[in-house]
Amino acid sequence: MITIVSRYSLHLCLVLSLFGCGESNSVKPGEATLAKADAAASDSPEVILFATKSLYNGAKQKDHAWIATSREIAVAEKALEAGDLAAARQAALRAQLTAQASLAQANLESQAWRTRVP
Amino acid sequence: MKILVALLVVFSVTLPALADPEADRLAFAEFYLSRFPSIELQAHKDGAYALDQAKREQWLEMEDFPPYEIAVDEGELLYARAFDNGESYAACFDQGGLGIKQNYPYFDIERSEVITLEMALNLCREKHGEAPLDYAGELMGNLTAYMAYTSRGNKFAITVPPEGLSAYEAGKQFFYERRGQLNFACSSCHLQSAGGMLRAEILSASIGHATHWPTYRFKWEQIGGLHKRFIECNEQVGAEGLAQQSPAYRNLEYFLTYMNNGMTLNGPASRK
Amino acid sequence: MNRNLSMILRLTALVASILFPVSLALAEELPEVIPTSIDKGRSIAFNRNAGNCLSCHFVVDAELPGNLGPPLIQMQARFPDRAVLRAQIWNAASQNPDTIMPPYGKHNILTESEVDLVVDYIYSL
Ligand code: HEC
Repeated sequence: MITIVSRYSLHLCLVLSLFGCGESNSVKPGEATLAKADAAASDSPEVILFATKSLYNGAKQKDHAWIATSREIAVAEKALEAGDLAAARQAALRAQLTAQASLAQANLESQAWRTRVP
Repeated sequence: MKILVALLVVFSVTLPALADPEADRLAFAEFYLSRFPSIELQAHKDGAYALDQAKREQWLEMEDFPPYEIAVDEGELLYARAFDNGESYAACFDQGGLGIKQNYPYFDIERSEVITLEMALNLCREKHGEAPLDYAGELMGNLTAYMAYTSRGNKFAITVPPEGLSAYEAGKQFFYERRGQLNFACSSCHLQSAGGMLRAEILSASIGHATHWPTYRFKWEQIGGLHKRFIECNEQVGAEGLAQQSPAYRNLEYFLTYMNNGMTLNGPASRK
Repeated sequence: MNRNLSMILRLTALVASILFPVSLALAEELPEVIPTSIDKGRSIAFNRNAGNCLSCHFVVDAELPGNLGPPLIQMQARFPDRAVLRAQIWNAASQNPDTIMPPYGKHNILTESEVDLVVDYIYSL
């Protein structure tokens, strides 16, 4: 099982991150975003974490990373080490949501900043 | 023909204008003049203390015993000390390095990057076989405090050569881009909301933001450079701060200091 | 004698229950006061690491509130539709792209249920 996950994790992550990026723009007020991400994501916290770190690094490269993302990644890793999969999963999902939002912000702002120049 | 002219007009409006730093600066200054009609532009070099009389009086009392005086004195000694090869900082700068801060940062065409005063000091050290100083450390603070002190009263005269336009534009974009989980741009606070209260803090104008560095902050309990303040302002909106002297912060400083052209240098300074 | 004493005690208890209803309720070991959603919302709104509304908004009994946003008063009159108020907190930019109000829901600053609690509190102002 573990080998299957690790063999396909890269594909999974790509799919997940694509899905995630598209989704973060279309979220409507009031929707339970965490619950949605929860339902959409694979069960393995490792896989979610892997995908999230690549999103996070993408945001960091654009100088747009959020403190919340690295904080939740750290929480998830610590929980993994302690063997608390449920907590790791929750933290990884929270990290994923903020990583997606930070990338969406970076993309939006690459044009939107012009509207603020006096 | 008429159509062509009309097309041209439409295009010149819709295309992003070619970077024109001087037009930017005039619009920037105009913004603060109309936001604060009773405050002279030059007064903004005192930051928030230009905007609130009670805070200003407290601050002036504090300045009776300037907390940065030791840094200036130690900086002077450091600056004069010879490197192992017998040379010293003075050899690396125009006018022996005294009274030159108004020209920093500048765009180095050969290196194709923005050089701040801090970076120039470290480049000088490397050139003469010395290890670079920690940008966040006390020695760098002392050296720049002394150099700023010898530049007091001069006016910023930053230039942007054609090769430096993209660095300038990058700094400008950084200034106006929203960042962090809380989604603020520098301009959200220091332009759009300048003069407003964020809790008990009054938001200063960016037109005075480059004049007084390094600054002794009581909160830091030490003297620190402009990039240390950038980190703090990024982090308070939930964005990760960048490294001091990272390319993005140097570009930001380049833009910000260009916006401060004509402003009188009054560093080092003290802040709460 | 005994009866008199118990009478006095009862009377005292009665008077006390009128004068100090809360302390008596505690003495009777009622379940401790459960915070309402408004209380919970208030503490999220006041917390510097959560809502931190006071950074920018005047709120009754706030110490040193900021003034970058409008005072949070008469919210039911200003937002007859509660859902509009919730959307404002979730992502104010959907109404006004120039707003500096943080998008508490969209950026996951607060969870969905925390947003609900803050709405409960703000709507009571
Ligand atoms: C959430 C609001 C906020 C944002 C966004 C923000 N700042 Fe600040 N900044 C403050 C506050 C508050 C202070 C301290 C009071 C003052 O001087 O305005 C401050 C102080 C400063 C100072 C020191 C002023 C002085 O007189 O010493 C500089 C420089 C500065 N900010 C630059 C920036 C830059 C550049 C950015 C964008 C990277 C930025 N700030 C973003 C709130 C903000």
